[in-house]
Amino acid sequence: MPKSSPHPSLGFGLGVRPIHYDALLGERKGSVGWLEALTENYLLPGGKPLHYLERLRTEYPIVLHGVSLSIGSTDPLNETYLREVKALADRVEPAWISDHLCWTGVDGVNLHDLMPLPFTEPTLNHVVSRIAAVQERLGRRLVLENVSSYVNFSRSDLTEWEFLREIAERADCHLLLDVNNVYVSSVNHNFDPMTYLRGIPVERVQQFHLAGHRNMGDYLIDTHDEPVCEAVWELFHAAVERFGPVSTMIERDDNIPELDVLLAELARARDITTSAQKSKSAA
Amino acid sequence: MSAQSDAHSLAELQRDFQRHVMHGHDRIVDAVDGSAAVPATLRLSIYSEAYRLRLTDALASTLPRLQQLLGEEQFAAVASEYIELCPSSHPSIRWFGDQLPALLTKLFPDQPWLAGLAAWEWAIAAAFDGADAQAVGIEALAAVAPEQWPSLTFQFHPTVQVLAMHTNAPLLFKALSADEPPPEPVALEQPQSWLIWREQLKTQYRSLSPDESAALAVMRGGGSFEMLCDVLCNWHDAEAVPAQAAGLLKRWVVEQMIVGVS
Repeated sequence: MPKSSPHPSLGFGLGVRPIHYDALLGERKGSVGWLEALTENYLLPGGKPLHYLERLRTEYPIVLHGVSLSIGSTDPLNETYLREVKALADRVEPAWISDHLCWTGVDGVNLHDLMPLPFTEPTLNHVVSRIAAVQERLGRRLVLENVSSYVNFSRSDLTEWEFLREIAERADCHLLLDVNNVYVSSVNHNFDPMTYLRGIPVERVQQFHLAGHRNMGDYLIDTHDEPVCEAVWELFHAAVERFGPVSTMIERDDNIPELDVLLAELARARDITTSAQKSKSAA
Repeated sequence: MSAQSDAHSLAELQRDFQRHVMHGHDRIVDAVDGSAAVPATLRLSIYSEAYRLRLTDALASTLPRLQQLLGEEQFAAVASEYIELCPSSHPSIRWFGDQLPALLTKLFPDQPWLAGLAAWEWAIAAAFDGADAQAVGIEALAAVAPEQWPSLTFQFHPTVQVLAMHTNAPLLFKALSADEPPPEPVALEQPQSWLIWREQLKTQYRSLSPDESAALAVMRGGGSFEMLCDVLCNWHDAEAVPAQAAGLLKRWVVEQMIVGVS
């Protein structure tokens, strides 16, 4: 696979959720630039979910976003899963396929959660070799997302941003920078999120995620059930200044409002992008 | 360290972490940095709590009427036991819960409608996102030459399921789905057959009379029209059987359950 630049920006999108299917195909058709579909929700024999995904893909560019690749697990790669993802991708023709830089289980168990990795050289070697295998199976470059985390392993001798940079460069994959996750982890692990952003190579970032989290006082939990908060908007402004206009979307997985509410939030992302680009070119 | 022992070490870390999330084993605690405000155990508990919540939510999403009937608290207790006994192994959380009817049978032997309702909702979900197939129109029957009828066989839509229900769980499901007060749950002396299938995108179900249930069993097993007539002879006078058989076939076609005639 030749080394390539990130996919050109698709503009501003949303994570597609079933309650918005009809609006996205009807009265709000064309209201977003692209849609991100959760891969596992469409690994199905047929019926309504795939029917709607087929219709949506005629109206919008689609990106597939998985949660079960478990790229950092020490279990063998799940070849059945990879075949199913490949078959879905052949059908949907997504602009790209993303998943998370994490592990989701060992010994055949799926914990259905994004578990943290120790940031060490041995982990790097392990994950990089698996990314190569997955990129070969899927016939395309992977896009991997930084996760929110609540623990740091004592054995970690790299920072998260150093780890992410090494992964992207050694495996020649792209990154999905979740700005909310950077913020959540910065509070939970007491680091400067700006240092994190500065540690990520510009040419590797293909997508931004924005989302809400829950403030628990001493720490934050990544819940995707609230609007994007002010601190994350500020960090997003800085991210656009650094990485330029990158495909940006809002993730909402719980307490999902009407589409118009999310479109208003997305309009703010658009405004911030415009303003960040202006301030960058003025600088 | 060699690459092999590195991998082993990562594997051990992940195994310890997973054992903590699933069973509360505490060996991982020493491998995690804590802070004064947020100690390692509290940090780890975020993962173990989220694990249970997510799987409980997944069960509630596939089995909403069971949750309604049990109430949130009792449903959560059942879910918790299930999560302990049957961890997920599938990439998609959609398939978590397939063994729940068996656990309900064990937990509530005197309330068989609970396991029945779980099995019923699982079957409804299977029809909802089951495989697609194009149903044939009524003209497909009209086009068959008379001499071909006796050996004619029919292919059914992949979402067609026949369930022998030993309780009135489908009626509980129907009432709860319509936000109506459910009937008194009862165990039946004789099982009642129910049909579930999907008509285009709409999941359908209805009860089956014994003759239609027997007819469907024969025909879904690849039986011919002649065999359909034979089985219907157990319920109907010989001279009424061809009309009965034709009537059933027409109904199945109209209901979009037939996807092939050969």
